[in-house]
Amino acid sequence: MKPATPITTPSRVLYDEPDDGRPRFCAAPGLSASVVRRISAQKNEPDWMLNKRLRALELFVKTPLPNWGPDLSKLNLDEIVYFVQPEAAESKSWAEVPADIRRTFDRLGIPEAEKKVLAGVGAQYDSEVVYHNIQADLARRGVIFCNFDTAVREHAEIVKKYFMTQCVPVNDHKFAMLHAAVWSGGTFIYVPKDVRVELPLQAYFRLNARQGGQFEHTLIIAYEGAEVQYIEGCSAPRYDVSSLHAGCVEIFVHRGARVRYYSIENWSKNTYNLNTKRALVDEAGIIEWVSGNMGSGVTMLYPASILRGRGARSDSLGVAFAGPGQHQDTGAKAIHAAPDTKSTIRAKSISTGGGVCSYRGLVRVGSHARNSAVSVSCDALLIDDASVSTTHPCMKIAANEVDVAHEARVGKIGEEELFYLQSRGLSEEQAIQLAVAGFIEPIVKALPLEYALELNRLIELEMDGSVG
Amino acid sequence: MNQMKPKKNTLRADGANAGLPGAKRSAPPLVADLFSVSSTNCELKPLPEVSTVAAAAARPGMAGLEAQPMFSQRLAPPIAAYALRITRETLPAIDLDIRQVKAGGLIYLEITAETGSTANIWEKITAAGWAAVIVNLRLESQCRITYAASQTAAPEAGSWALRQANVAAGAEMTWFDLALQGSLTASEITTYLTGERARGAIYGIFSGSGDEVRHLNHRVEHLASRTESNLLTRGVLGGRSRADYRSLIRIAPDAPGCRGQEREDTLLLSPQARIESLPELEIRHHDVACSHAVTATRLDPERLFYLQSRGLDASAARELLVRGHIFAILDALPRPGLRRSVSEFFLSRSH
Repeated sequence: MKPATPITTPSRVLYDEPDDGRPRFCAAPGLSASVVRRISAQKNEPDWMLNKRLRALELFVKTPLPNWGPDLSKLNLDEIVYFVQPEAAESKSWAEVPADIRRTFDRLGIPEAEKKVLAGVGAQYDSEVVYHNIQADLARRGVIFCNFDTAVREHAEIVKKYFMTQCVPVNDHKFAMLHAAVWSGGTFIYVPKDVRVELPLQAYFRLNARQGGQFEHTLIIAYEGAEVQYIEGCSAPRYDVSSLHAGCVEIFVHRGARVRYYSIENWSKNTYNLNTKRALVDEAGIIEWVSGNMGSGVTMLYPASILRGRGARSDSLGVAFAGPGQHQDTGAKAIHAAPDTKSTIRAKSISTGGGVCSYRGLVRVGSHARNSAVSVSCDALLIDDASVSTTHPCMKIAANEVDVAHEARVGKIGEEELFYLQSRGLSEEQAIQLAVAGFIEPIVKALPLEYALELNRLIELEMDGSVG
Repeated sequence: MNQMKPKKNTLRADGANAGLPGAKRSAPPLVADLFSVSSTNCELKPLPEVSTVAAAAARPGMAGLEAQPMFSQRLAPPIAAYALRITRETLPAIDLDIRQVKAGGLIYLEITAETGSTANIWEKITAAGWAAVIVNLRLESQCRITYAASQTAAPEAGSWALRQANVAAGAEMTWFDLALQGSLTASEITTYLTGERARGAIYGIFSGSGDEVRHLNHRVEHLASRTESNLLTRGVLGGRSRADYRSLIRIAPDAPGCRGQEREDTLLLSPQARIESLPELEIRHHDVACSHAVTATRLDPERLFYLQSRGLDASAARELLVRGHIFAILDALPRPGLRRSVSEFFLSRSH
């Protein structure tokens, strides 16, 4: 297989070109009970799932759009195609995947990533996972890593218990309702008690059909003492009509378990990325969020950790990049509901060419959360005078045996720093790129190698021509 | 402290000072001793009511608070609307004493500080009932105004205040927002830095005990280049008291070279006390250095232990640490009398 170039030299064009994918079943634009029934029938779903979808749809219709945050007025929910199934059934081996779909993934660097000893590859082409490869070793240890549609059929009991019940309930907010009504595809990970998955599991999501919606559901359950890392990458080709991504990630971290969730989201610039990510963390469990938000026209994403067991911990690292026309409204939430819990949030953002980066965070320490500690820091970098940075950190503290600290800084790249780098022979552009790379370095360091490379290259690419 | 005797040249806001410049017998009817201004060489004039109220109510901050039921029922047209003019001849110490407010009444005060003038204004709300105040300050270039508002309403009453300042080039506006006593105090302060190199500071102390509620909303709008702002608030909450602290520094797109910092530290003395903080930044120019920080902490057990090992009893050690927490602002208060009264308040207060 030819080496996948995107890892070392990503180019916007590679990510933005639509493939000639021939969808097998494509729902008509717009949302109605019949669309929801068709999606459910197509997937041969049990009744409880269909009922859940219909109930969510009812709620969705009744609920108004959020009246805060970025402007969603250009998002036309009636123009979106809520379900597209590509012409491929789920395959076990790479060779069985249709050639044009394979080409898409080649460009995105998936097989190369797999070669580099990643444990398994699940890639979502439009709305269904077409390729999944679980290492036999994992299956032997009882780890389930599969397409979410498959999980609904084969692991119904577990799915029924955890799917949109206590973590992200169906009625959580408007886009969670939408997600519950039309979700399709996604990933299901189940790690049994005391099993440690050493290598990160990986999936890549991509939106391809015109006006396509992507509503993948990710459910990760780490039983007592289990450990798992999951990497998710997203990219979508560029189209004229606004597309919508409203995914949902639910993570259950049981006692003493540890989950690390990475996501690099690089949707095309006309996508609305309105995502919900939440983890419920039990006693002594640890959740770690590492997220990079690069693409999308509008992003609203605030990974939340609910620390409900004594000594639970949450660690959020995020970097957001907003170029011309983009609004990245990202942040993190930590809800402390048990004693001795600890959360740290570190967020970095870069705005250039008129882009808007907002940090919107919530830290809530309940009255039961004695002896808890919270540390939040967010930094923003403004590259030019058309760009905007806003910070909205909300802290609600209802316990006094706590230590809560928040700080934020906004500024430009130091002139002395640039002068020094230029005096050492770098051009202005190189100097700025180096300073930016240094700014996001603490977050890039937390990423697996090829993702770190990709993130750095993507930011370089986005910054291209933004100087002078 | 609520019986501050008017000095010799007191201008009474009830219009009783006939013959003094600006004070007319034909002033609107007022409750006697509603409030008084004591200073020399400043000018107090009654204002036509309706227009000023309409102007004040049109402010964006007002609309937000009005929507809250606790305010909407208590707001009424002002029972006093006055304009105060500070000149270079005015002696700096000015006392505004707000003692008695008719239920639902609102006091509107417009203060203009002439170019190059200096003043230390101490506004005291010591009303037995509810007090509502709107203060509109206009600072001409190169003047320095300090405005300290101390709200020590009766325990069962409260106060609501909306204060704003428009700061011209090179002028400096310093607010002290002291939300000390009263079942509810709501205070919103906005400084508009409209002239180059204008400076604005908002310092605050809030204290809550029992079921008291504090709302503080501090904002600085940087509308001109090279303007600077500094926001610092310290709070002490005991009992089941609650505080809601919001702050915003906004840098306009055409205001390069601005500096701004905001910080709020709350000391939570009881497990039932609650604090909500929302310090916001909105930056629309890249040539900027802004920061904000928030902390919520308890009394450090190690420090308490240390002080007790040095011979202080538990309550003295506690008192000392509480005083230490607010000291940065206490120490910066502009008038010795004010410093003393805040200091005494904290000594007498059991949080």
